[in-house]
Amino acid sequence: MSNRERGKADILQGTLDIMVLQTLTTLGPVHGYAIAARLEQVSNGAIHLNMGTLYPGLMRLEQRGLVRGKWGVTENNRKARFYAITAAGGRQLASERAEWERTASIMHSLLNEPQ
Amino acid sequence: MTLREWLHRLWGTFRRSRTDRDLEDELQIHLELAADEERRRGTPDDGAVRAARLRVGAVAQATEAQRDQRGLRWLEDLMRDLRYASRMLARSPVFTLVSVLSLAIGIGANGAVFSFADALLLRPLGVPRPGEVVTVGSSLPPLQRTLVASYRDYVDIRDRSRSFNGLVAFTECSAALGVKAGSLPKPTIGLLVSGNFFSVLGVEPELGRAFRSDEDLVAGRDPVLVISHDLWERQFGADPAILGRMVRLSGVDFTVIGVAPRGFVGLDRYTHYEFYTPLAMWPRLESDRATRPLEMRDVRRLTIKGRLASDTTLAQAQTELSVIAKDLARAYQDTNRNTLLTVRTE
Repeated sequence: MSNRERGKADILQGTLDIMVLQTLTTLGPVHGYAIAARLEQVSNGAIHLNMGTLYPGLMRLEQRGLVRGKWGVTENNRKARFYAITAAGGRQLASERAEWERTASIMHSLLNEPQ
Repeated sequence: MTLREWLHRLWGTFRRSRTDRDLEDELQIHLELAADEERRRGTPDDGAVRAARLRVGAVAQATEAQRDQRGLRWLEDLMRDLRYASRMLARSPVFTLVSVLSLAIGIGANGAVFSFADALLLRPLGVPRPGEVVTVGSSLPPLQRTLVASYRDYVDIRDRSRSFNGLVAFTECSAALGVKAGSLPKPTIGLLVSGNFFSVLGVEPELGRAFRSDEDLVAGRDPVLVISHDLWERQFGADPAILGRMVRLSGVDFTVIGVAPRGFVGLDRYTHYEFYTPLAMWPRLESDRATRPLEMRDVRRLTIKGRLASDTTLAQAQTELSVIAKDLARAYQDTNRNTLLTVRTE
């Protein structure tokens, strides 16, 4: 992996966590594909996760205890691994959300400062 | 990386909570779901999987990325390398043996050289203010570095020089030590020393006393012995009643008058001397009867050491010694014609 790619992945990493946690809060327990599809849909195709980004990200969240993964069966009777947000994940999301909103509001007032 | 994540990954390195197969299954399903969607959008069946793969990435790369996240990659790699290395080594035992031996010898030699250098260069003598101690003597041609002197030269240098706070002389002596009648004598190495040896070096016996100056005056008259702390412990069970005891050294009866302090083993780093007796006893311990070490100026077997007087530099001491050497060369042409005297620090 080149440094540039790593840099890009790192920027994504911070936002990926909050996006995944929010998606799980909205949808309840879902499998990875549903998460990716939902993000693509919500962003009108701007966010496109490939598996190499999504699954290591999910695994990292799982290792940090923010989500829990379990094998289950889809409505089409397919075996899939379902991810659910944990209590710790909910707390993490709340704090990250607050941080984002603060940042956004600062940026907003900065950029809309009267000339 | 949070601590919790790190612990998880450390654990994941050793105990797989999810196998490679498990990871791959999940990715495979993702790919299938993507292909389903392609089909729903009207992509023909044979192109659907390819299109899906283009959209979500390849399983192999993603598995690799997950493995990196699962454990600590460097630790996994290290363990894999170690396993591989040990397999390869087990496969060619001769090569392994040769390598291990080469390394062992190399490391051992290195250690030996270092301990040599450590003792020789880095560790001070076991006496107070070791930095003051200098060595005086003549270098014999075959032994350039070593400075030696005869007993008669020593006496002349000691009595004439003003540059030193005392000069001591000593020489090594091996003797058979008999502790009590009927027991087998043991070969033992000690030092024959000038009477001022302990006082000039500033070493106080742990028990008993050091030599009196008169005990080094008359050849063979005073068979007194100071033994090392080690010998006292080993041979006499650290018996405090050791003082006044008789021991035999090469057939001569000696009286133990003192025990050297623990840790003092003479002035040589490589030999731990076990006893000290006055140089006056030299003739009685000398195996070669034709040698008269206390009289012959060409029996140069003494090492002379001393402390520089406080207001004297090494150069001043050297100047004085050169004058003494010149006088001796004039007075004793047969033995001292070409003999220079040198002083140097340890």
